Amino acid sequence: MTPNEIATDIAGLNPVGEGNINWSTSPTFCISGGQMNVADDQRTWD
Amino acid sequence: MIFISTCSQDVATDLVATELEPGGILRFNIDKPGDFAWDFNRDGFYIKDLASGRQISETTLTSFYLRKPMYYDRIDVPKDGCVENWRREETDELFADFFRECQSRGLTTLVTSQNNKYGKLRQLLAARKYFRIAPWHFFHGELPEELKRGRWVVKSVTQTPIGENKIFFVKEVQASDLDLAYPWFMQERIDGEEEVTVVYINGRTYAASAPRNSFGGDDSRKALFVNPESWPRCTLSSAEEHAIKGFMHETGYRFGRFDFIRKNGELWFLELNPNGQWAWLDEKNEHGLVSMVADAIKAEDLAHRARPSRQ
Repeated sequence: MTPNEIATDIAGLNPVGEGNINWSTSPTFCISGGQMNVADDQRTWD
Repeated sequence: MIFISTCSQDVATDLVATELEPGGILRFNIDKPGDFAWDFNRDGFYIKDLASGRQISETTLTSFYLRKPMYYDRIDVPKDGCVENWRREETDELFADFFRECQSRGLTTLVTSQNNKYGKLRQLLAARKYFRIAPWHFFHGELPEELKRGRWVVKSVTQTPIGENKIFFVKEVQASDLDLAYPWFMQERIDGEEEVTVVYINGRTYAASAPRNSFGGDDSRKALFVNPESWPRCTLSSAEEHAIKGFMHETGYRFGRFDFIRKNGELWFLELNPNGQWAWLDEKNEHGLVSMVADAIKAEDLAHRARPSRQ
């Protein structure tokens, strides 16, 4: 198995902006929100 | 004045801002550069919110609170680059360097950049002194003997996009099925009763939990995509509080959100997110989490203001 085969397609789960989840406060925000997660693990800050 | 570096989608900052002194903050949304003007030069700097005219400068900045300076809209960057990516990288680097400068002056509040950063590997090593930890392996090229037996979940070290709208969630797989040409991080599956998350705020803790069977899979984030709901607050024993404080003291972080699994009454350490999201735990501030964060920011800002150099 490759990483691609293990990863989950989130498009079918609950597309960003739909449903009642407050995306911008949830722990999914960092992984659903755009190209990076810089502030979460501080990769670019050190 | 407190400078908050974040993005326009950050509701946690909306919530915290209501608890801070009106007019006492400047919120910078990195994804809305058209809303701001700035000039950093040899004599100082200013950053101005063009809509309100409010600005922060060398003489008025007392604290820097790092939230989520990120871009919600993903862009495809061609091999030879593109101007939008150039703009983002230039802005990111400037404000990241500004953050480092503020940190060197002791002006950052709660969230700090660690020169001595603890990533997943170092966290697991450091946490051995404080918590139960399931066996784990970071491996490549050969399958470790221990992984040939038992039940294991695969995780990722980063949250790097994997393409095709895919996210790498924690998932149980057979280790022997993995393509060993890739680097892997596996941990023995913990069949606990509940998942516990703890927000650590400069010495104080806020704990919440959810039964593991409430989200079905191995990764609670996946369930939050499908069925978003906040987790009820729970209590920690004094020994658990002590362990959490010991871990934070050793790593040097003043803020973070822990993930644990409670099994047979004991906390099993999963990870610490040094700037993890927390507002989803108490979005209406019914349990005071937003106030706890805001109070910690205010206390640190007050200490910054009280320094002799600022008087």
